[in-house]
Amino acid sequence: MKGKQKRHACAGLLLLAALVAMPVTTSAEEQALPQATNDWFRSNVRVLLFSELQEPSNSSQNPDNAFLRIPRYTAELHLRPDFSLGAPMVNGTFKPRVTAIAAWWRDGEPAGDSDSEARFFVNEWLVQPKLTDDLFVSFGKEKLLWGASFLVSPSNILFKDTEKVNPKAEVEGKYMGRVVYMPNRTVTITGINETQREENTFGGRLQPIRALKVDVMGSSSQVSVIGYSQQHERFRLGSYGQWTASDAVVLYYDGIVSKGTDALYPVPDPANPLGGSMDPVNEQSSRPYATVTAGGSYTFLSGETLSFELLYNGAGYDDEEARNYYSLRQNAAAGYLSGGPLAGLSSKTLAGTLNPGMPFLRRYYAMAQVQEREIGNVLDVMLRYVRSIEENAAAASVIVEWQATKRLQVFTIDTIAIGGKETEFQSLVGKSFIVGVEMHF
Amino acid sequence: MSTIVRTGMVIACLMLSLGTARADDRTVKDILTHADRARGNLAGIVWDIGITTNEEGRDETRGLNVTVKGSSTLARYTSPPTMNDRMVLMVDRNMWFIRSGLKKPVSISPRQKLMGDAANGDIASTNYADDYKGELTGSEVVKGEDCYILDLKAANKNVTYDRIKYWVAKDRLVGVKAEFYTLSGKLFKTAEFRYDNRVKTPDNAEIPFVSELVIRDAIQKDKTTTLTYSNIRVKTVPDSTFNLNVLVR
Repeated sequence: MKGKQKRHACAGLLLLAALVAMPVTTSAEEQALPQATNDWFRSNVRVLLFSELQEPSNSSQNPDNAFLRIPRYTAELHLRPDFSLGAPMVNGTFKPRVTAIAAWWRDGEPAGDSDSEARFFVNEWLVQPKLTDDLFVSFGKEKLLWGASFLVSPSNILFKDTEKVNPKAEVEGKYMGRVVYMPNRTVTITGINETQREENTFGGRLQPIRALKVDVMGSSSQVSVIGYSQQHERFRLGSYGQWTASDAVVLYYDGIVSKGTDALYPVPDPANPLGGSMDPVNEQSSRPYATVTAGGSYTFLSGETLSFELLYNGAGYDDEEARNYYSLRQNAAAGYLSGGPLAGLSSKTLAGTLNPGMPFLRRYYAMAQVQEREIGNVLDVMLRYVRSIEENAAAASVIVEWQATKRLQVFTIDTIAIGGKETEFQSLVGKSFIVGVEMHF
Repeated sequence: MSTIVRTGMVIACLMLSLGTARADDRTVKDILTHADRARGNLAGIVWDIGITTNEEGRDETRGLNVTVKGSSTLARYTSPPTMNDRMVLMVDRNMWFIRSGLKKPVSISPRQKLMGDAANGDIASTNYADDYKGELTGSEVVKGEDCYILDLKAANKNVTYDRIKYWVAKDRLVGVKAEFYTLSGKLFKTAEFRYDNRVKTPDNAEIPFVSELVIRDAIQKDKTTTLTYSNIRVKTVPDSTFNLNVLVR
């Protein structure tokens, strides 16, 4: 661990210790309802303490756990204060973060290793002067996530993570400027200008993304259209929407269409020592590629909500491409473990197979989910099952959150991958169990 | 039949017809519009709601700060602390659940449970005048107050309840009691209202305003959910308060 990180770690751990030492029960006065609220300043300090046990897969994506070095056990502390200002002339947010992580390896090549690190950073900050009641300009490091879908949000190329798979994980913000104009109650026009340059799979710098988003709100529906522009990049048009079909039913979609695709495909090449490479072969294609999710949820009178979602990933691999993909990955895994002259090329190939530029590898996926909130007013339970329709593989997960006291929540997030080692869901981790507590101050 | 009896019957009929005429002067829509105003259907209003459930002898409480403008509602949890990063946004029948830790709003249905027997739709202002087709079915005294009995049937599929039997006080024109029925006609919960709050509308009229709503489960009769309304302020609320693009920060 570097000296600077150690200092951050000490400061963070001291702060965490102070917060953890605070009583987690509330006084009778605090429980009196309703609490007075401050209209212009809000703060919420969360402390997460959790441990994770995961079983790294010995797949060709992570041969002998040498490529990704996935630890068997981790213990994590996260200090997440959120400060929000809503003054008459300006809005603002400031969300600094302290994280301390310890990890222990028990699988494959790194077995027996242990390490720890701490980090202080600002995950989000924002300054938003209120020019008029219908015009907002903002700049900062922020997250922009939208749409109702669970698996992915195809219409959002700025942020690929939906934060719904693991509700305790946070996506880091990106630097961007935004202009929001609300000409009337039903229409909102947002201009977005990313001001940072991101890296692609192979370390190349991408041009910032610009987007124009138009939201139209109906009495029981909402539709948004997003047009993207990126220098030297392709045309992309996204859209998402939802419809409250009845008191109990919500239907939604989220999709994008692009001319060509950045996705990497396995290209067999007898001249290549690995038998092929991962290349963006459809980069210059004029063919339209669509990625769409569509789903809905039904809430029973007894309180449970049942959700279904289908994903069509138009750029995903067909059967032949999938065979080539796994074959190339196996060759790269062997080359990587050999440690010889092919190690560098194999590493680059495994980086390509790990992140081929698509949310999922294949074309068709289905998700089913059952959720019940406020069981006995203290328990939230969610069961989710995601299946790759073309591969005989799936992932099942359960998320349980229990409000143990007024300030303390106990949670567990557990996932099991179902299918062979050389399937998408088993590529990285076979099983993962997270247990922890979240404290609010 | 004696003249006295005939005269008495005529007078009784006349009195009855006069009473009916008084009820008929106010259409069901008028009655509901007045009753809606006392349950939050104003141009801009902010209030605090305390929700307490009593189930099997155990009390649980939640606090919410609710901002309402017409058919838009933003409810921020203020307690317990484990929930004070949560919000529920309703714009007409579109609803989202938002947690500050999660930046992606989750679309929810009006039926999803808020707490106890209170659904998300219960904390929004009511708009029974537009959402239901009503019929005056009679009169009844409720807690010493003469009330119209209205049979309300959903005018569209998007309302929280399919059918409501609603008692509205004739003098104060506020809803004092309601029974909520499923599509199959099964009673599943009842509600009683109190109006100890008063607010001034923008046209300077002072009207009674809801102070307590007690929801009782029709099957588990000892299970109650009580919504207490306080700190009510009529104020100008900009539309941006209910816009996800500005709200989620």
